[in-house]
Amino acid sequence: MHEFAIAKNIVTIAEEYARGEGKSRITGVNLEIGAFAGVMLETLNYAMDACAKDTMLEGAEIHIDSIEGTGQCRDCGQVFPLEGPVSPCPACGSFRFDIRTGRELRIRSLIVES
Amino acid sequence: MCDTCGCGQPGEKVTYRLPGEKADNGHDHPHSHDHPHSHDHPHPYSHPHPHSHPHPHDHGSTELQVGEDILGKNNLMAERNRGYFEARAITAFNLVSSPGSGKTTLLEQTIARLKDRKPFCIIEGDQQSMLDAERIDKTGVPVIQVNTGSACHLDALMIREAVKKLDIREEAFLMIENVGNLICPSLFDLGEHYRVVIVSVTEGDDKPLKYPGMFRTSHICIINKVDLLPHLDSDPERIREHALQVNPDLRFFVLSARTGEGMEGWTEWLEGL
Repeated sequence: MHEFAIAKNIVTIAEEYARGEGKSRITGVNLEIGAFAGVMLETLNYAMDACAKDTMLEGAEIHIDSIEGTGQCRDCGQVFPLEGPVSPCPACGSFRFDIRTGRELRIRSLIVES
Repeated sequence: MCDTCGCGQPGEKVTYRLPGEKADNGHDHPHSHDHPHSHDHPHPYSHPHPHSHPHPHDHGSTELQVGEDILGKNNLMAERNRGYFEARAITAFNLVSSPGSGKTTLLEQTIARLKDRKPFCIIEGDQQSMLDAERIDKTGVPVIQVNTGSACHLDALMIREAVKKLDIREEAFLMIENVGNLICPSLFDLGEHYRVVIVSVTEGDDKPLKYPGMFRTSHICIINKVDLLPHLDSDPERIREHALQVNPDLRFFVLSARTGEGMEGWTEWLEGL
């Protein structure tokens, strides 16, 4: 699944940042993953275990902050929490909305050691 | 048991929901994976390091702020592809669908109808085999086959590498047939102008609701294989309604690539671009 591609990217980005700061070991990774980013969190954790082997991240604790989805109704402007990818606006019932939050796929920070 | 994704291992969480039960994070996932993986394509990055580090410690752990988009490298490469296409007035299409929805036949028939009026260039994406590229090759237009090995989607770097090997004429239509997969390709911008999701009437009218990510990120929806409707309970109008709930901006073409029904609307729209 694509979680492996994402895990490999996390490892690559994390190692580059750590090396840039002169660090050789990463013991923690803080991720922000939106509820509608299309990523299965359990699968990502598993993929991280596999992809971190023999890298600076081996054994690192992966912490994921899940970001709730919010949408803005295109017809009445209401901002509301999204329950799913098809979410009627609670104010006017329209299905036409723009996603404001919930698609994040970000590394917030790393815990590193020299 | 799949060695890489571990299906069948104890502790793996699979969720099953009865109608009306609330989703956990909205991610339902069928248990059986039957694709091998481990991507090995390299991503050469050049990468600035502008981060400031507020806690200079000589020993122990420190927190390093990163704030970086995990798919940022792909997105950057996709924008480079986009710039290249725009500079040469190339219109790029990313064709996505489940396996077997009719992408290759649609391409063959589109090329047959338009190739005398428009230059075409095709990138075929599959895990293995040259079969699709060989079919396109018979139409006489330039084509390259990308075999992803175990990867389940094309990405922007693959497109860049494929384009380097093709001599795409200015003002050409570059049509990219993605790996048949309605999930993973939705996350990977290739630099296309138009993402075209193809769904056939044999797949179930609720398909857009079950795969909202792909329908939400597409611009065009082609409903294919309408010649089979007499044998099915499918209603293209229901597919359209469901798709519009997920993405109200979709433009639709309802057709049969095999018999030609409805193809004129699609090719006329293409010619008008």
